Parts: sequence; C-alpha cells; structure tokens
Amino acid sequence: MSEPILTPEACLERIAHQDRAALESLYQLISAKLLGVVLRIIPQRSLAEDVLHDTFLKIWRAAHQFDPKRASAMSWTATIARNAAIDHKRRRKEVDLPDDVLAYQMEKDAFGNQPRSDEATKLTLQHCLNELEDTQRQCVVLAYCQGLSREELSERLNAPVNTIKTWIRRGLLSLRECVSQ
Amino acid sequence: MTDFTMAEFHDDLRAVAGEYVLDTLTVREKAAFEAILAKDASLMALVEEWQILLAPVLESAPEEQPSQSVWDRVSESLDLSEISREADAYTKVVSLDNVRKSRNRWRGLSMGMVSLAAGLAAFVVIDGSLLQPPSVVPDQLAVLTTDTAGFQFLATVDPARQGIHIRPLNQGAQLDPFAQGPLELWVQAGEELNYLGRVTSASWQWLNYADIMKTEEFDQATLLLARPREPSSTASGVPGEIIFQGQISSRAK
Repeated sequence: MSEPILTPEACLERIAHQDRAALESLYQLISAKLLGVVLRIIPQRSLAEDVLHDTFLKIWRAAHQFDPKRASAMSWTATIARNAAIDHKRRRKEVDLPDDVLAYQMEKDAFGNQPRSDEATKLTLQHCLNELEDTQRQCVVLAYCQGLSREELSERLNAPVNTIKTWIRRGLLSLRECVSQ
Repeated sequence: MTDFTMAEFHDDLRAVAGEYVLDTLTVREKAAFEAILAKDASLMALVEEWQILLAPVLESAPEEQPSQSVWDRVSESLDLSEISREADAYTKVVSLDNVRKSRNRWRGLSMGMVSLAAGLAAFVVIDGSLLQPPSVVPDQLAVLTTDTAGFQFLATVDPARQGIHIRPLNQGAQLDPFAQGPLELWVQAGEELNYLGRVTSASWQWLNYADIMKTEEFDQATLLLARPREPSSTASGVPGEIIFQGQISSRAK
C-alpha cells in the first residue's frame, strides 16, 4: 500500500475526484475504526468485514457529497458504516423493507446542511448521555451503537416494547434538551 | 391546537425523527415517516440535527484491524465496476435485431465483441485516467454470449490471484440464465476441456483455477457456460448443453 495522505478529510476530497490512491489511504487511516463501529452491530467478523467492504464502496460513490464544513470525515464515514451494518442486520432478519427505502437510508447525505461537530460537542454529548436515566441511556446507546430494535431492547432490558419506546423517546428529548443548554 | 399541544406535537415529531436516526421505528412507522420526510424540509432538518448530535458516539468504537483480504476485495470490486461499466457502454451499441439472425452471426459478433472489448481495455490503458493504476486492466477477458439475445457474461482472468471473475453484463434483460438452476463454467483450450466451477447467481463470482490449469493456457481458449449434465458432467469430463460461450482475448503486451 502507498503512504497515507495525512487527513481523512483530504482523502475524501480526492476520492470525490475518483482518486483510488486516496481511497487506499483513507482505508489505511480509518478502516480499523470503521470495523470497530460495524462489529458492535454485527459481531461475526467475516460478516462485519463484508459490511466494511460495502462501506468503502459506498464511500467511493458518495465522497462528492462530503462537506468538511458540516461533518468530520470520521463522523461521516462512521455513519455510513453504521447504516450499512444496520441494513445488513435487518436484511439478514428478512425484515421486508422496500428497496427504495433501503437505498434511501444508505445513500442519502448523512449530514445535510448542519454544521460539523467538534470536540466540545463530543464532551457535551458525553456529559448529557451520563445525565440520562440508566434505562434511557441504555436504550439510546444500544440502539445507535449496536443497532438494536425495540424488540431486541425489550429482551435485553427485560421490559415491554411500549416501555422501551417511551424510554427511547424520553431519552432522546432529554438528551437534546441537555445538549441545547 | 393550543400552544401546549402544539409543543407536544413538535416534541413528538422531534422524538420520531430521533428514532428514525436510531433506526428503532417499525417498518410501517418508518415508511410513513419517510413519506412525510420526502416533502418536508423542516423534518429533514430535524433528522440532520439528530445525525449531527449522535454521530460522535460512534467514534468511541474500539479499533479492530480488518484482514488484508478486505482491501483486496474493495480493490477488485472497483476494478470490476469500471470494467463492466465500460463493457456495458460498449454493448449498448450492438443491435439486438441483427444478432438474432443466426448462430453463426452470433459467433461472429461474439468474436467482434471480444476484440472490441479488448480494444476497449487497450484504450483504458492508453488513457490511463479511467483506471488507476493501469495494471488493474485484465490481461485476458472474454464476453460470453448466447443464441438468445439479451444477456452476456464478462469473464476476466486474474493471473496474480489465479482466478476468474465472472459476472453478467446486462441484468435488466428478460432472459434469466439461472431460471433452470446454476450453470457450470468450463474452459476449452485446444482439445482439452476443464471444469472451473459453478456459477450460481447474477452477481459477480470468483472461481480459482490454480489447481486446474496455468494462466498462459487461457490464451485463445474458449470459456463455456453450460447446464450441468445428469448425473454428473464433472465426473464425465463433458459439459452439458452449452448456453453461453466466448473466446478469451489477450491484451497486447
């Protein structure tokens, strides 16, 4: 493999112009992190590596949508990896999602017009997650990081699905309120 | 709606948008949400807000080094994607009316396609901007065609990994080559026939030939996609009914 370009942002800029060496550099820089993201959702390593493969093909195709003013390259690519992993997990369970919905989930620009997150935002988020009630925090984090559905959360936390739904929504609203303060 | 209930409504919408990003909505809820999302920019803004807010959580994932094969597969997929895109672009110029007229004409066309596909590969090497690095262009490739118009396969020989990639070129065609089950890939080099493996799906497949023949033996050989012979074509050493065939063309070195 060639020497890596210094930053993932610079790699994405060049990948947008179909620079394969830049994709290779990006792979060197972030593939381990992205595999970590995927493994939390799909613990089987061989399947997780399949998803990682798909993730880099998506990055190759969608790099022109990346805007460094709106998201960090790490957040942007990690979101693509997470969405690909969840999609893979749902498909394996044969949930009957229409193809156009799946395509929408996978391909749409992850961060639209919002400004990018920074270290302060990360710290605030961590603080606010810690402020949530345990059940609410578990619901939000397990759903987001491990791709658990309401039913899976219900089993994991031994609570009715409707209660899980309530915990998720209260947790989300509390989280947002805390972050906004 | 009172102010109170309006606030409740907005909170609810915000929470649903958050659940959409978490992906905890049911299939029906998600479909309903996306129907509104497609028309409502303010709702999209809510979704983006949640994406921004939650994304940093992912960065806490521990690093896990992937195996080397993952990058190899990414690289191969990009190669195939480029090759098949160019081959697809080429095959669109072929008039299907003309190719239906006779088997002989099909064979002639097949040879022509192989030559032109090889020419296309040569063009890519010369241009250099379409594929980087140039070495990704296969040295040997074949377009496998059939008497029945509407479907071709592209096969490329990978000498470095001692294998053959094979994939359909035009999956939108009406003919389903797998309607009667999987096909078998054979190679005819001179008088010798060798079985390479089963082709079972409309996505790309990889078949190793390291234990079967040498790379140079593919020069001018013909690839055959045949129906399995009962009870066993591999045991008899003879393929069943040949459905697709194409001669391997080598790039000038």
